[in-house]
Amino acid sequence: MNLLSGMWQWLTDPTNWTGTGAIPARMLEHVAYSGVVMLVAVLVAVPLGLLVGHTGRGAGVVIGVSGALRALPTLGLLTLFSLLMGLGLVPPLLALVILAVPPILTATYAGVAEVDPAVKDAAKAQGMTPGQVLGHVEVPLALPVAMGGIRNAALQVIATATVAAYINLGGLGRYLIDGLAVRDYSRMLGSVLLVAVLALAADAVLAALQRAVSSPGIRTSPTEK
Amino acid sequence: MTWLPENLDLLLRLTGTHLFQSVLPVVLGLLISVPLARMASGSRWLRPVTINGAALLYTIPSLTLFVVLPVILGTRITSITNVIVALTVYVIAILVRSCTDAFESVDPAVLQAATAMGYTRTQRFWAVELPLAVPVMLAGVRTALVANISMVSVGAVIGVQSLGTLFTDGLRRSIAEEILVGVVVTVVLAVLLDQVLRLAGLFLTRWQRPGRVDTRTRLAATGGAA
Amino acid sequence: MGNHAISFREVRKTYPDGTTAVDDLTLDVPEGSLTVFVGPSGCGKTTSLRMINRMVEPTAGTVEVNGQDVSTVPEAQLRRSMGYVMQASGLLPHRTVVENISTVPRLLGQSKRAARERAEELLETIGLDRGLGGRYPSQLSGGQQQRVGVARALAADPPVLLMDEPFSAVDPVVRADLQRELLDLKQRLNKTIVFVTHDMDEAVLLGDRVAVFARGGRLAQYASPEKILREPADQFVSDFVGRDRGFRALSFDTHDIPLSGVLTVDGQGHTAEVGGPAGVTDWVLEVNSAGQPVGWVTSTQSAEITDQAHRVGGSLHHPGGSLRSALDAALSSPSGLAVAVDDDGRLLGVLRPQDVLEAIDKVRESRQ
Repeated sequence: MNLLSGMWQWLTDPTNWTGTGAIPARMLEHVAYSGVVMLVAVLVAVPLGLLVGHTGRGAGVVIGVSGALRALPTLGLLTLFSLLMGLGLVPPLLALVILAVPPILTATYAGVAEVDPAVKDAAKAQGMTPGQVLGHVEVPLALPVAMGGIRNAALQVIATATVAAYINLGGLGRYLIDGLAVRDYSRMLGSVLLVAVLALAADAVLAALQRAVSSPGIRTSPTEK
Repeated sequence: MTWLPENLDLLLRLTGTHLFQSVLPVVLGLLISVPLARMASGSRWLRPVTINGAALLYTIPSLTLFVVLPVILGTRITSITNVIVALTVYVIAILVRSCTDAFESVDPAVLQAATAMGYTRTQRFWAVELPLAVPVMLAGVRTALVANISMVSVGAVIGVQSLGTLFTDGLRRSIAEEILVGVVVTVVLAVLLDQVLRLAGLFLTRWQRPGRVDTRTRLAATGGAA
Repeated sequence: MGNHAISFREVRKTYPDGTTAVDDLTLDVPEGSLTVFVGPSGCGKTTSLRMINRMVEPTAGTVEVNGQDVSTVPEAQLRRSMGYVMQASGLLPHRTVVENISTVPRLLGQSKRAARERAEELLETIGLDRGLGGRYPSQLSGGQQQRVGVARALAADPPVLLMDEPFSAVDPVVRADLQRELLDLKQRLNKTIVFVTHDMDEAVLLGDRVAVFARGGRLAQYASPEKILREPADQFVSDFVGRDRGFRALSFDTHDIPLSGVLTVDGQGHTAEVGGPAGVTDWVLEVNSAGQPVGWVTSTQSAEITDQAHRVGGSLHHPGGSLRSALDAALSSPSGLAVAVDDDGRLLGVLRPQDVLEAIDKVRESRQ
């Protein structure tokens, strides 16, 4: 109880809400890092996933590389990049992009590859060009699955962005690292709550987006199976 | 290449503890997730609760858990227990979902046939449901193990020893080689264990591959002269 | 026969949402018979079947097997005492064919070895090669899977066999084979079989007794297939049996039909008259050296027979067969003459359509 009230005190202390390094600023930093990382990751992974899924070529390579990327320890990349490239935003963001690409890539690929061949066949039979098949059939049908991958990646990025504070960057991880240094559990727990709120909010936005891009015809909840 | 030859002992020790911290949570998580998922699959109220609960768990940063758990468990902050418990939580977050999917992927016709033949509920679970759920379940276990191997390193930030120690130590002392070795060994570990699981999966799901005939019975059928 | 292996007593099944699946069903299945439950989808036929082995529990009424109320028998024990074959074969995909067939004997505690021997024996009974025993279900064709499903149901030698649309998912040619084999098995094994189908033709072909179910779980008629075709109890049965029921009912009629002669020609161009003097017609029946019909040619072509010239004949009639087969043989023959052959397929003569119609007439008169 002591901890919770400490956390509450920290969260409601007005001095924590104004000025540089205050909660709003840290949250904004966190959102900015995550947003940039997700944007880059989506721009890299979605077209590649669509291409591989559509042509069926290089699927083995993509799956293998994604698997290997997943195995890369983010903390290792973070420290290695900042050691080699120096301080600044690029090293941590690059490490987070590498974290975000595999789930988006494999989900996009799977989304396209899992489109019923009979549906693609029917589209071809009606005279669609390969580009039209991709645009009118494969992409709309694959989008919900791809969005699932994007949601998954966003959760991971928002959670892992806290580690960026370890190499002296901002974001909500700052409170965690600084709090850890002085064993200030109120601050640490408070930041944890903020990260969770951020993650849930981002997931809710993306879930709404996922729903919006899914045709009602393929929108089925698991219980309807 | 000066760091590696001088620190082979350290590397070996850290690899060992890293392995322990990544594998044990998978085992514990599996033991908890399988019964939970079996109860949740097909259940109107428990299914959304566990699935959404698991998704929620997944949003908690690992670093957070490493930090918060000592407060809850009363362990020292550098204790390995924190990492084990934290990663078990993540494994459950991944496995509850994939195990639920796994049980729901089993053909209902097969389950009905098993019931119609007179399997009791318990017999049916062990002889039919569990073996048939293995392929989908295994995909989740592989994901969880690879994720774990990568995540264990984060414990180094709070001082729990693992291959991640090479990252924090390498950054502090500016030894790129030390970090690189840590990254490479982590990846090799992940790939190796993943292959072990893949092979185990192939063995457990021989029935899924068409075109191959059980040689033992084929020999028996042709008189076993060979 | 005589004893009732399975009895439904005022059985009702209603679901919480108010739908009635089975409405007050009372019905006796005689021992050793093959009884077919037939009806449109949603008529409660499968629900009724599944109440026999307690896959579904009735809301009211009792189901008895050999005089014993099934609700007093533990579920698993009850189910092990009956064979069950379903539409999708429901084979365990992670077990080999032999292991699948051994399932129930193993559940009953038989040794692995004994169960295995029995399984291999059964493979032959159902017309599968023993070499298939080591395969997994995914390595079998649909028809083979369904055969294994039947073997599995027979493995513990249960007196009762429940079959839920077992042949509806296989192609028509294989289905015909499986149906023939089922009739053959029934002759040899003396089982009480309850068979569910939505296909009236299958019901008529297989059933000793046919129970026609109507929507809402009402038993509309329970009688021999012939009686159902000839005297449908109500408008529903009449509609369900379909337009061709008069033609199909001919399956149950036999009558002597006089043979007529036909001019034949063999591969060497030799002609002969078989079955008596040939009538006046342009058509000549080509036969092979064994005297079996090959196809029809017109007399202008008979001088030089080419493969292109002859027209394959229609279905063949065996004397003593049903009037349906005689009429069909006539209707499907290019010449309009039904070709009659003996058991070895050798030509006996032909039936003129007017003689077939006369026989149909006589049968009808004799019934009035």
